[in-house]
Amino acid sequence: MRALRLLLAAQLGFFALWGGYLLTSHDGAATVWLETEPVDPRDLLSGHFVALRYVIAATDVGDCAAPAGAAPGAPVWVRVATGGRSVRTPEGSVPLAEAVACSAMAPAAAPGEIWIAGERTGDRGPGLGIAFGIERFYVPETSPLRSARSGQVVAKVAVNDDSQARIVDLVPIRPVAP
Amino acid sequence: MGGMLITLVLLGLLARALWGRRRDGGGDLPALLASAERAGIVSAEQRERLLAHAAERAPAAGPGGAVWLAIFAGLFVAAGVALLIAANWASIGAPVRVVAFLMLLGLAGEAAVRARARPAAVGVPLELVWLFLPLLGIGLYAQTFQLSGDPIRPYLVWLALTAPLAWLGRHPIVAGIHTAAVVAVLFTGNFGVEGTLALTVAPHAPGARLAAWALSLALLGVVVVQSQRLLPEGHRHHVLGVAAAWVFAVLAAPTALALDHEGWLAFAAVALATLWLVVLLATPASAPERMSAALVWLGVIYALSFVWHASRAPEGEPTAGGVAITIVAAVAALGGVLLLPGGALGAGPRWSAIARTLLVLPLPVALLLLTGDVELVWLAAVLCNVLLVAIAIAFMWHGSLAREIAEINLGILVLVLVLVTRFLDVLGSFVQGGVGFIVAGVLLAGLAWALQRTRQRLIGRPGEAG
Repeated sequence: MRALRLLLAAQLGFFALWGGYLLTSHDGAATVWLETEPVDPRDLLSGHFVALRYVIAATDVGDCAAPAGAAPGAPVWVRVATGGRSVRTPEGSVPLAEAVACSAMAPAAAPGEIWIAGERTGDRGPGLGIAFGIERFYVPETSPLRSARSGQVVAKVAVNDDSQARIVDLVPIRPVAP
Repeated sequence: MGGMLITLVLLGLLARALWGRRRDGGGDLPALLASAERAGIVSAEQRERLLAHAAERAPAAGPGGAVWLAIFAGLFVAAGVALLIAANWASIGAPVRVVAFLMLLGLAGEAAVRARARPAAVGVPLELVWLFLPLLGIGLYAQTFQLSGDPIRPYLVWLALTAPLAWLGRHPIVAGIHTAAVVAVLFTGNFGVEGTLALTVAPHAPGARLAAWALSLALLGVVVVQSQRLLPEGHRHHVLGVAAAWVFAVLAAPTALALDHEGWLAFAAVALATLWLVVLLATPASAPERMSAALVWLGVIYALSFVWHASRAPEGEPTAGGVAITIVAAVAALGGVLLLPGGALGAGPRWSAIARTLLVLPLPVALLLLTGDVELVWLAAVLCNVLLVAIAIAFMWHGSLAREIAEINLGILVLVLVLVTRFLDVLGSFVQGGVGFIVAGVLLAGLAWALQRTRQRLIGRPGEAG
């Protein structure tokens, strides 16, 4: 009985600490808008989500240019900054962030710089190139985003001081009237 | 609302009526025993002891109609709450979800702890809810905070969080489900998805999977230990099949130990299936465990009988590691067959020799697939058919001598399978026409009649010494 209660306490502690971290880890984090590329949605294990792949995942700037020696799972950091491109969304025109630098070593970010941490991916799975941990966006049963596809949406992503990214929102791109 | 109330009342009345009928069925025992005592069948002391024994074994008093009403009312309320949550899921904030999950986990865990002394009907469902709630929590957090990444890591975390429950829980079904989940995660992670456990080789990083190999072997070790310590007596040897299947998957998938050669793969399958069967014959395994191994062994030989259709000899580039593992398995299987005690194989030295021969022969037959000559591959297919027929006859013969109906039935089953398969294989194009179907049907009916007569004669035959 005592051992089982200790187990229960350990589980509760684990989920409480993890939940607390997740609730606070992106407070006040900078946000960027990332362009997505078309990808087949995959549902390998469970859940309703939109499978996403990002343009910045296939960047060839800096250390990202020579992936031949990089093993799957190797850490990589991509610096993003808004360029001149923007897209129209229901929230208005939003500037798209682009990859401007890439480092295989943890960067010392200057004030105002946004670096997103990722991992090299292998020859299978979504996000060939670099995975940032933002390749899924879970949607509720009634959301019109359930039929959204990567490439037709832009992702609003919060990036905290540890360079961890989290999707805040997924917004459809509004077609430009001819 | 009125309809719901009427439904509740009707369900309560129905439950009460059913429960009353069930209780009435067992109420005649005292009268029956009193009558038996008067008739001199049992003594007064025996009557008292029987009544005491019946009282001990009687199920606890079940819930009455009012309790059933309360249960159904609770279910309706729970369903209503679930529907309300589902309808408003998007507007429930992350802090509320986290706190609600923590409360749910705490309540379920505490209820399971308190229900340890209760009957299994109460304890098992609560322990199962506790077992799966952490997985639900991980999924909830992933959905709420938009977490993605390695698809297998959440399952590893769940297995680690609930492993103590498998060991401390009172019910073996929880340990069984946990062990099965470890096996499922091991195979899916190794061969199904890209992630922490993937053993498949990335083209540009062949040495990058050492951590995955170490973790996989550790998980396999967990399966072995949990099977031996936590599973019921008759299920502790299934782990051998899991290990054999895992080794074969390592050889068949594009891992660092891949065989990548149809002939070597077939030889490995025969070697591993034989080794699995031999080890189970040498240990005090249960009949279902041995039957699983025997069916896989027969299945492998049966599968090899189809190489008759091969248009070329097997080819490929097996890795040295894969070849070494296959040879070790084959040598171990061969040694195991030769070293098996006679008693494990059949009654008497003659049947032991026959069983040893039939167990060993598929190994050299499978070697023919490594020769690079397609005609020898076809010969292997023919020999596999001959072997299957010989095995079927041996099963039927030994079964009739030892009065083992299961062996006779297995022999008949193997024989029917081989005959029907080869019939369709050889005359497959013939049965496309209407007349062909009729002829085939008549032939199969004749075969069924002959086999049934043989089976009945074998079962009815007096037992003989081996």
